[in-house]
Amino acid sequence: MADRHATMLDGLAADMAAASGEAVTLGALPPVGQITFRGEPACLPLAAAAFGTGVPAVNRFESDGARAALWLGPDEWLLVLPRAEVATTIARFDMALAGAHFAAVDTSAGRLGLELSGPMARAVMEKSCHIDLHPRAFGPGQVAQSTVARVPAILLQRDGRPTYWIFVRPSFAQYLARWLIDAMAEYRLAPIAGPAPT
Amino acid sequence: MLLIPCPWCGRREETEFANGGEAHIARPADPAALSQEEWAAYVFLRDNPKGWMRERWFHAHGCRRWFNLVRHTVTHEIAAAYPPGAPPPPLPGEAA
Ligand SMILES: [Zn+2]
Repeated sequence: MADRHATMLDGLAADMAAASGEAVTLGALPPVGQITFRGEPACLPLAAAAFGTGVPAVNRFESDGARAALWLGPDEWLLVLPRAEVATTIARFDMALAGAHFAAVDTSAGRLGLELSGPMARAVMEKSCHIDLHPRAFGPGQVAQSTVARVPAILLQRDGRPTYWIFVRPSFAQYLARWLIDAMAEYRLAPIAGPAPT
Repeated sequence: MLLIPCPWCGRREETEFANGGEAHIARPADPAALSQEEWAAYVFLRDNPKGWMRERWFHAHGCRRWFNLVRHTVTHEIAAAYPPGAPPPPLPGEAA
């Protein structure tokens, strides 16, 4: 891909692949465009329409596949979209929200994403995160800002497999990837064959 | 570990928050008119009750918003959480 940016996680791609298995997989998300959007409540429906998703409810995100609007606070969203569309999307906000009190800022360089997925993904996350991720409390479509392995992170659940996306500052990305690789190790243990060690 | 009810995000663990001290400290309308002692009292003097207290908290690792909490400083019981600008609720046991 011509617009594929090199990131802090490139050097760990092989390690993440080696740590992945049937129980849980880890990988870097392709670098995505990110817009930090803040606006007065009255302009939020217009903003969502201009972006192309619904208005995200509290602690949830709205996605049409290629784009997602993440609720981060009562007047703040993180918009995730292809990098090539960031500038045109901000220009669209300027048109659609003229006169409203809002700010849409390109923060694409501010975070890298990791994807953790598989039947044991929740067990890995539960070692590292205070959020209650049990399905009764957290499910597909939900987003939370918290800490993961002590790193400030934006965490969202994509599907019921479960698949999690974790966005962190680029300078924390390698640390978090290594932390997750370590946390995943026990789920790659093969059944013990032969006589048990004495 | 406290479970603190952020008015916007819901109940989260204490590690996500920072305490901001006593709530409802109003900035003097005309600071230049204050004596040194009055300014020092505004900047430094705070209640330190053994019991119920209205406090400011910051959801540092969550929505990054300030809000107020009514917390018991001995039992850590939390009686109310409310956004900045909302009128202070009565303390438990206090007449409304
Ligand atoms: Zn919050």
